[in-house]
Amino acid sequence: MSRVRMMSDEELETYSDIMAPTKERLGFVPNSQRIMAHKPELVVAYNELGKAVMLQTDKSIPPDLKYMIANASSLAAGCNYCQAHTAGASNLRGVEGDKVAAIFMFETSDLFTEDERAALRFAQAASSVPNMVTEEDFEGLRKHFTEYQIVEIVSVVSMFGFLNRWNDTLATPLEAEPIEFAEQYLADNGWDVGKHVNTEAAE
Amino acid sequence: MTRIEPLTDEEMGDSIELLRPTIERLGFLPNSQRIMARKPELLAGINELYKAIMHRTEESLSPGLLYLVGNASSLAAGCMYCVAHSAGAANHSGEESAKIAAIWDFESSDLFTEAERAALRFAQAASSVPNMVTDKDFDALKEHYSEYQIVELLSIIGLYGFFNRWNDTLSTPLEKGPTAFAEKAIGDQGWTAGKHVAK
Repeated sequence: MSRVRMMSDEELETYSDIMAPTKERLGFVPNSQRIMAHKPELVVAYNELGKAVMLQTDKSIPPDLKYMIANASSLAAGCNYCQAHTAGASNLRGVEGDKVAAIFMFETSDLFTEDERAALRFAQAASSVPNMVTEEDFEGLRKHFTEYQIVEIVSVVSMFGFLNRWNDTLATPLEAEPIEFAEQYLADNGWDVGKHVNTEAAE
Repeated sequence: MTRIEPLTDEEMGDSIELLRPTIERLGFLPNSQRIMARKPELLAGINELYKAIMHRTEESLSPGLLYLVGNASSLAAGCMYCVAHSAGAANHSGEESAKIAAIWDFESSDLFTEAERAALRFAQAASSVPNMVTDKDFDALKEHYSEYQIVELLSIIGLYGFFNRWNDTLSTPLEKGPTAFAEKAIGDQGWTAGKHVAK
């Protein structure tokens, strides 16, 4: 059960423009944002930051890698809500279900390139407490990515620093679509909805 | 050692204009933002989020409390760059340095109210990995804070979730001002700049 009340569609009507891109991409308004909306300035600015982090320029890392990084990051932090969301988002960005499931063993699975492995290894170390990133991890990254791209990788990890704390603290109820995806692809590797089970009627 | 070099004023170009309010408030531009400036949209985005979180309405918590919460959060995550910055910011917002130093013992120090203790306890649990927040922590919060204020607490904890990962990963070099403040105010508690020592 959500620890802070989620706002209904009716209450969110004022923000429909802000949330339209997310709603169109996912097919629903994430419950995390239904809670942020208690402070309107927060939900607006959060969406701006999200857009900036995911913004693709001609120097950017691919969007599917951004979501895989977010997924590895959420795994390291242990937020099952964020794991399900980022797994689903990776899939929407073109990562096959089998590869999404294989993120639990990216070091050995042959579905991943060396570039991807360096980024995912880095994401896990950067999302651990205490922080586990070493000079060696940076050297590993620099072999595959530009400085601009490393800044992008750190920005995705950090964005999920916000979201992992937000959703794991609130026990945000997971929506039907990401539950379905995660049960199909992640459950065999030990994922479960846990405290994020939705006991409230959908509005 | 810096893992990504912070940009100089000159290298930042037009981005620096956006940061005038920050520079005015702190007297300098944090190196964390000089690194973010490598993707200008990111720098703009984080500043918008920061402004939104510190935006005050009549229901809002005091900035001093929000920074103390950011400080407890950074302590739990172990980011010494963020500990120094949030300590300095709490002081700027009117919190005495003796109280900032006492955050290490907020459960027993008589400088804290019960409401503050509930918020700081919550911040530590929410910033641990794995997350340690329980329904009991929420019950305690609800005795002292409105739903709106709980969202504010969470939003500053979330913001420091961003900053803790950003700065601890990058070993962002700590600037002179916060280094001097932290050495004086919390050096005795065991704070050191560690890997954030500037060249």
